[in-house]
Amino acid sequence: MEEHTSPTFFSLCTTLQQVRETRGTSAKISVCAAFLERLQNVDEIRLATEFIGEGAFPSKSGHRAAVGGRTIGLAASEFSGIDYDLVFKPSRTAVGSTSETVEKLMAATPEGQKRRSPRPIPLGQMRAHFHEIRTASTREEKMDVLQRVWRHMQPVESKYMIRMMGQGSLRIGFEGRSLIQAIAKAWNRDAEQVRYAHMVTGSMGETAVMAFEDRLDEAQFRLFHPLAFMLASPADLPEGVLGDVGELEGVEVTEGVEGVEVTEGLEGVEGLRGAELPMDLPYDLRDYVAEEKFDGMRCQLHTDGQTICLFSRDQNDVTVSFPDVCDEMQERVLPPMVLDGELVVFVEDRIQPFQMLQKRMGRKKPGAGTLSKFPVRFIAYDLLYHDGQPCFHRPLEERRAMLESLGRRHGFMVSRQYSLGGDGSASTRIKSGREVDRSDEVSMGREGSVGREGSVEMLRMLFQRALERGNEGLMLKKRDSVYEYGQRRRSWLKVKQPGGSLDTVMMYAHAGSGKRGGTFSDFTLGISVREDDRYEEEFVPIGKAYGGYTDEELRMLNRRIKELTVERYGPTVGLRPGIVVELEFDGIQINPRTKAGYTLRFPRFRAIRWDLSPDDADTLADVERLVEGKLARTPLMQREDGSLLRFDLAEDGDL
Amino acid sequence: MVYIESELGSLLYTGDCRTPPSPATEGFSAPSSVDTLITEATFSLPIYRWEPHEVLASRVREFAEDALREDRTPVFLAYNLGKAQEIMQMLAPMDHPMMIHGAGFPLCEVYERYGFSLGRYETYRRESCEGKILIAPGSALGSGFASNVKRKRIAYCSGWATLEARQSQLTVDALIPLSDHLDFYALLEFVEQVSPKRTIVTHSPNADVVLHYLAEMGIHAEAGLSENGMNESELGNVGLGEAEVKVSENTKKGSG
Repeated sequence: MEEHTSPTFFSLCTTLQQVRETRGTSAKISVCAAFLERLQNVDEIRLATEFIGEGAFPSKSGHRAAVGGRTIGLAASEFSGIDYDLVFKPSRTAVGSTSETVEKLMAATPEGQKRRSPRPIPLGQMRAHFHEIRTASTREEKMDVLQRVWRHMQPVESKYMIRMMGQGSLRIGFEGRSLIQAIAKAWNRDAEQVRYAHMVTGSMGETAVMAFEDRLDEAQFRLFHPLAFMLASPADLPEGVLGDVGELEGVEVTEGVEGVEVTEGLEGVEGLRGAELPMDLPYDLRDYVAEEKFDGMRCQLHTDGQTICLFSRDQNDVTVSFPDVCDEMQERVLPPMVLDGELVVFVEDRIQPFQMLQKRMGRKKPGAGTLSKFPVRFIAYDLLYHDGQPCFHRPLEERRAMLESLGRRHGFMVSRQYSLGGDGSASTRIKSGREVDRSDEVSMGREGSVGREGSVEMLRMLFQRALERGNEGLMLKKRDSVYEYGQRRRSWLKVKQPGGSLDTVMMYAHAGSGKRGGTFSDFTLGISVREDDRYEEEFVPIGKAYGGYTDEELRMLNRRIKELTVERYGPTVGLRPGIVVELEFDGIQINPRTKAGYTLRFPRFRAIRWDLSPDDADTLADVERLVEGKLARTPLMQREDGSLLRFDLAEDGDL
Repeated sequence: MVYIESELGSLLYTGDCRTPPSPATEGFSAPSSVDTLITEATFSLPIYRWEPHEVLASRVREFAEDALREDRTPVFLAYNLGKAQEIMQMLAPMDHPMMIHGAGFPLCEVYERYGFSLGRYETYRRESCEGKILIAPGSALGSGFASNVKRKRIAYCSGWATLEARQSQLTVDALIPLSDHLDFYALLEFVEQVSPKRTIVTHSPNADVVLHYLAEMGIHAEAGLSENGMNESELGNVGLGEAEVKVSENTKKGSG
């Protein structure tokens, strides 16, 4: 790469490309830091770090370029003089990425070459271009702006420009945490301080400018400015740990599916007494506490003692959608503080299914009918600010102690935390809670620690109870962990129960994007309606899955798909029935817009059933039975056996 | 490449070919016109345009030099016949010892016999390969090739290296789009140049696209059939690196 002294959009994009081509996180950080270091102007630093870490617009702005893949494809086809359906689509299929296809067409087609006369685009001008695209109201206008901007671009710029408009990953193997490290490295600051500044500002741009100007110590928490959220990783428990539940915990479905990471071996694992339980957990459960995972919406609550403000996980202010929550919390007369927690529909001490909460989400100023039918409440599980001080950098056990005492004093609901057998201090509620709890039996009724096997047994018992209560599963939180932005591997883990599984038939295969580009990696699965009078066809789609298989299985699938292909629509092929997939999912949603009338929530592969034929597939009637069973089941009361600390109830309220 | 003339007319079967030809080959001179052309069209999308040979040659050399400077063993993944020798010819001016995969080694001697200088090379030996420039087919890495060398950098040399997804799919350090096939534009030019009465396009994951472009040029063409009787374009471009390698090696045998 040649040296670029002026921070143009091109030099930023060549840096991104270099980061992509570099292997190893620390080497990538160095490449990025070297670029940042050359920036001398505050505006440029802000823009560059926002472009890299957040996208075309700062996340907090809530702005979206709002330009779809089809608009981009049509604009690029016109620009490079090719036919959209006949040529762009198959090219996109081969490449596996719209943005990379555009880059290649710019570089290779005669029209794409002829129409471009690249010139330096300052970062500020690039932001202005993004705004032009955002504010263009029709597809034609958006296409016009895109083409006008492309005329002055190198191919690599068009690629990253498109990725930035997605406000998501740039797909260069360099996520937020790496950018924080690069900022620290570029201006020789303490990475912890940079991380803290990002936590409280929620902005890469502001953080970088503070690092540049050596003002990181000014990074101040301000009420009503949302903090970055801490997220959980899947717990990757070996099959069987959860015992009779019979299902492996859910593989979290994310974009660019990487499958479940295989856990490292663990030294010194003792076997379980005579049992064949797998014990190769990559961590010691005794270092964790467990909470039940509520099927709700993540929420950060800010209050200055009077006003209540609620923020969703993407840091948007959702206060107006939940006046009932605000009213209730105002009655509690809270001191200034910030709580992390969950919004749930709560009727008669029961948390209602997520589908009910959906009636309230995104709805501004809900009417009285909606409010009484779907009452929402806030369950707190973490404390981030209190007594004029942020406390997210304090260990979990300290935050928890403060949270529970505040909950008790002011009477709001707090999740109940269970020790998994380490030293007894975190399992306070088991010992001192007024509700006698079955977990006492497992914790052997004493305060001392239990063995590894004991901790696994407790996990299983707590997990089953969470499911009985209609909750999603468990959150495991490391006792000594601080509250940090993003996914901190193994600080927070989620243990989820799949909603169930169905044997389905593969109907369509779609060529994937990103890492799986050029390979069929997304699949539409169907259930049988052969015997169903309501349908003419044999199978109808029930869900689309793109994860849960190994690379080897994917290769075998791709071979078999070739043999079964009967039709082709762009990146999609239609298949003869022949591949049976056991599909695992988190839930079934009623969806009248689909042929089946239902869609699966988070479907993913559990197993490819080479042993089964399409005749063995489950039927729509099976799905209907599952749905009826689920709706008929009454969830256990949350208070009865302790997923919550009900400080809100009268007898506790005046403590 | 096969050219047949008979009382029924003339036929040109291209096999895998490339224009301009690789300097590590004798090249070919196609007849100025043929009645029937059967051409390969492996890279049948307008995203495929190869860089000039000199540009690719300097990328190959730079990759090797950078790796050696960082005390890493450079490994080039390339087919044993043709591509490997082209890369060796590119590297020869560096005068750094090379080692080539056992199956490729005897082929190099043939090249030398016909006057192509491939530099300083010997057959791959596991115990002494560290620090040499290594050349092997992609499949070799999976079967332990140079697995004793911890510090190495790997470049994948193939037309498929155009696609960025290959880097993580194959876990390599660099992608060098160096191909023994016609790129999309050279393919169209070649067809136009031999102005066939009948054109059949084979070995193409996207024959439809080629036919579309040829039709716009006023050339009627048809897609050849693949083994399973299905038009190949309908299969789509679905292979992983491995499957693609297989296709190319098969055609190589046929073209000689």
